[in-house]
Amino acid sequence: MLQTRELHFAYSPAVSFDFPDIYCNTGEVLLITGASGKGKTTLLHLLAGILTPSRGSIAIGDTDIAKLNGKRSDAFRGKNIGIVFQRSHFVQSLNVLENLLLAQWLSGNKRDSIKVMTMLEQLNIANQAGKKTARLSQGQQQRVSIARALINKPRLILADEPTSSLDDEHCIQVARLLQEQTALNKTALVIVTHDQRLKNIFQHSIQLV
Amino acid sequence: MILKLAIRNLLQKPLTTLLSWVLLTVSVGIISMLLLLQGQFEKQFTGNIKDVDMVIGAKGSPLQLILSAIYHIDAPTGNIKYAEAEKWMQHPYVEKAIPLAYGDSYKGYSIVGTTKDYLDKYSAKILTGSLYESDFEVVAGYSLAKKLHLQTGSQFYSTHGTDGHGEEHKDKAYTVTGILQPAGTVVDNLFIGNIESVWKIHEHHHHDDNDGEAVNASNAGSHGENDDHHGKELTAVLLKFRTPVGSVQLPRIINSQTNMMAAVPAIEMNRLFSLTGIGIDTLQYVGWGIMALSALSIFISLFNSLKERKYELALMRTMGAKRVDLLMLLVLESVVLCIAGFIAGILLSRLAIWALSASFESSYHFEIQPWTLNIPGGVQLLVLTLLLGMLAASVPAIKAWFINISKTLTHE
Repeated sequence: MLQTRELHFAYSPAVSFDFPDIYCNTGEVLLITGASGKGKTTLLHLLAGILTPSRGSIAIGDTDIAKLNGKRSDAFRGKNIGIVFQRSHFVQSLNVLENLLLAQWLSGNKRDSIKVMTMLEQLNIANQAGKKTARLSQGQQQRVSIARALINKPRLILADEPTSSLDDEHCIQVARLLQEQTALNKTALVIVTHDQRLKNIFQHSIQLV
Repeated sequence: MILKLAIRNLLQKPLTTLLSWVLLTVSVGIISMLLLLQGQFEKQFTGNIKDVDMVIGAKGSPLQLILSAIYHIDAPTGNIKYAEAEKWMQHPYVEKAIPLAYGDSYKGYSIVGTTKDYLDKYSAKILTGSLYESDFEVVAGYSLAKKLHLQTGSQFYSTHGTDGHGEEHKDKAYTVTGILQPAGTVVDNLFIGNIESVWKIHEHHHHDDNDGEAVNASNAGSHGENDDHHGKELTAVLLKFRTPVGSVQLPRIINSQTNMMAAVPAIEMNRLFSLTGIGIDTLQYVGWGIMALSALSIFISLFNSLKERKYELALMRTMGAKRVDLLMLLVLESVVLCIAGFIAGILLSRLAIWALSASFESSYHFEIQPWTLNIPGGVQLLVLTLLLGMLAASVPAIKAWFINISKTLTHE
């Protein structure tokens, strides 16, 4: 599903990263760990197509996203990749339901509130659908961003420190949720984190050095 | 969806949005009100001038003569002798001359004694009743008949002077024989009858008055003389020339060689417009100034919110939004605001004019249609407002175009 080869990225001649090849199959979870400054977020942005590698290839399905230009990269990302960020950010002026509808629309799918409500139901936050996102608790916000990452049934989910701002209890909840949903939606999940707690939950992991 | 998001974003910051909106509304309101006023003002004034190349009256202010003889919104300059005026009315250069005797009124509306030519000049047609036939019969203009609730057969006593506070001429009552169709000209607000009525009303006034009323033999020496035309007086004569040479030569000759005054409406009205134009121009500059201010306010609010919303915009990009979507979003936010301001501004100007129209009507008998769909300069104003909106949004939109998603997401 996801396969990178000889990825290299340079912010400047002094700051550059060589990444180990990574591989992640549908329904699997891959944990990428490493201390700060080792290029975790850079790798995640490369996988998301937000950054373009200086060398190497990133295959998602049959597409090498390193070769996509701006507009097609945006479109591909919208359709095939869901991203969960460390701190949940939403479009402030829209409520939970509308944020998810926006995600559907931006990816080029039809806006389908029944589908969104089913998703919120699964994540146990359907009763928050009409609220502005700023009024939710951290845990609820994280659930909404997971819902947003999943709503378009992407082939790949990227999670950037999804649990680092959560307490132990919520951390385990979110991890389980991600795992469940990955299996349920048959997507590949790559989590970038320095959160040691996650290592106990997921088997596959790569450490960036 | 982008439109919805744009509107939501505007509502997210109600106070900032309100400020920009109010500024826009006021500026569009002022400008469109002035355009409408000026348009209707000039249309009404120039419409009434039609076919009047020159006005003869007593010496005084030429502008006053025009305002009183054509528009009936000023006091008459005085009287002239019929005999003396007649010489010029039959001058070979003159195609048509309409004598006027006025100076009396009923409830502030002028009673004009004239010939049927006057009605023909304004193409006035009878709506109900019939045309006046004998003395002390008048037809009433549509607007004044409506306002004063006059009908065919109504009777009234005229008042000396035009301000409605003069002495009543109790001995003779006028009878309304007909109501004229609405014409959109000065005729709508006049009583029109024959000249003889005006003369007869004043027959028993044996005092000298030179305040503009057409009086029988106001000259002390001719008191009590017989009632032929030669002792009669007029207030003004409207003339139309056969040839343009007339308007060059006759005013000069009349002004220098007689004790009457000749005024050319076109010249006097131009003078008036250029005088009032200064005020209108100044107000218009104020309007444009406020509009520039509102553009600045939109720009600042978009620019400021861009700092906060950068992450949000980058986030939308990660969800598949294209650069052009973000560009559209910001431009739409500004344009939606501008359209809202434009619509509110147009409504505001109409409301203001509607509120003013009552006072305009009572003091100048000048009717303005506030609810006309034909907004002079409306299209240009709309286009300008939209351009301003796009201009205000352009810098923020370009910044949004070049947002570095990766950087923005890492350094929130």
